[in-house]
Amino acid sequence: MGDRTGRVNRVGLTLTGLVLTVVGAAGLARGLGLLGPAHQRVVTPAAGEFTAANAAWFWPALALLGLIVLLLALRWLVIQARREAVRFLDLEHDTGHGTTRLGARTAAGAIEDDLREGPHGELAHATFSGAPSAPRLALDVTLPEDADPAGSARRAERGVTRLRQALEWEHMPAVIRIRPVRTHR
Amino acid sequence: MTTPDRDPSERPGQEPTVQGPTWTTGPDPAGTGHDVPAREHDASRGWAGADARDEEMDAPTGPMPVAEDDTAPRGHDGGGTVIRDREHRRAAVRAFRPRRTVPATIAAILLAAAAIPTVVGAVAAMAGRRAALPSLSWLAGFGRMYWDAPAMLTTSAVALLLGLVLLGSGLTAGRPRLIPLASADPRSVVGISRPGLRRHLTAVATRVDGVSRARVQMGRRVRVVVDTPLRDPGDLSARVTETVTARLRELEPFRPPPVNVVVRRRD
Repeated sequence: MGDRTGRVNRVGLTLTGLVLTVVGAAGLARGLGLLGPAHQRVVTPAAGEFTAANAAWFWPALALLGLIVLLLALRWLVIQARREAVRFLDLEHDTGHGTTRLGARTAAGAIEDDLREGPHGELAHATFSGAPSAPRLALDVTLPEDADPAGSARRAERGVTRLRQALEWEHMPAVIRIRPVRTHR
Repeated sequence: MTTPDRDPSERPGQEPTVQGPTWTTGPDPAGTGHDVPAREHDASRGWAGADARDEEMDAPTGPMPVAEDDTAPRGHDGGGTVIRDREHRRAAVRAFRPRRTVPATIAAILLAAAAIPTVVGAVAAMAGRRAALPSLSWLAGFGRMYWDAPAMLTTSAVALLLGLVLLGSGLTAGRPRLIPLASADPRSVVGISRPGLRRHLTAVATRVDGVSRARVQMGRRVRVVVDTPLRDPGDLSARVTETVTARLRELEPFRPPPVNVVVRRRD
């Protein structure tokens, strides 16, 4: 899976963390007297005069900065719920001859059915993400805790290979997740 | 045990060579870890960034052998096993790296919460008035505060600490969501969920003769605690160790954890 959400999160966390660390460290250093006199007001009269003198651009600039941060933060929040699934696959890659489309659900159902007939009572769930012409397959295989996960993984790999052949996409990347789950005894 | 998929002969070094694309070193030889599998939308390159082979996905590569029995090896292949394993493992770890959704959500909410009063305050100042946000009036006190006031020092310390935590979660890899397993196919990444593997190993240990109950803890090592009603457990510990280790070996995690077994006598 091309984990865009994960990458965005790491960049966002690093930047936010960096700003907070610098601000916190500077505030602490100032309070401990390492950066100029400690017993001074946070907003000095000089700062008040500065904002009063430059009110024409200072406040609009601050409002704009706040707005940008607000929009980025909201976008960042929305991304957390995003699914990168595709709804169809572009099977024919020859641009001169139009496109043959296959519903992603149909292709997913094919490999799910393929794996359902296994000896362990596995349940497979497949999704495609990325671009319709170059999708990535995510295959979740659930099986009882006392079944053989190694055999199940091999079956899933072969199922993926068969799907690649059927779609004529020999290079389609796949992520297979094996999840043994509790069964009532 | 009903394990028809078992392949007892499966050991590295004695498998038939797996056909398919040869392994080429991905675009991240220095191991910087920043390189996400090839290009984001380029599915033709596969997980470990098997390099510029064909631009077209349907290029003739010959059919992959699809073994119908379970004797096909999953993990290694004859030549270049070490490099291949390392690259493949790196791709797997990358795929299962935690997304940091929880800290990201908290940070995004905090950012938004800080930005809203900033915007409101700045707009109010543009209009020449004071912002009327009664619930946030306590914030105004910070401006009149002294740098060495305890509240100011505490605020700074909290900001510093929070910043370091966020930096840590952004920069460290974190524990993979799934335990990566070896795979014969360079374009497939296989993993087993940690709680799932724990449940499975518990079931495996429980089935050993003489074990009445088993508990498994997964950490750096696999710790198995088994109860037995036997007065003389004999080699029970060794048998449990062997069974659990054998099962782990079949799964072929890239880094098989050591197994520790503790036997307790319970009537």
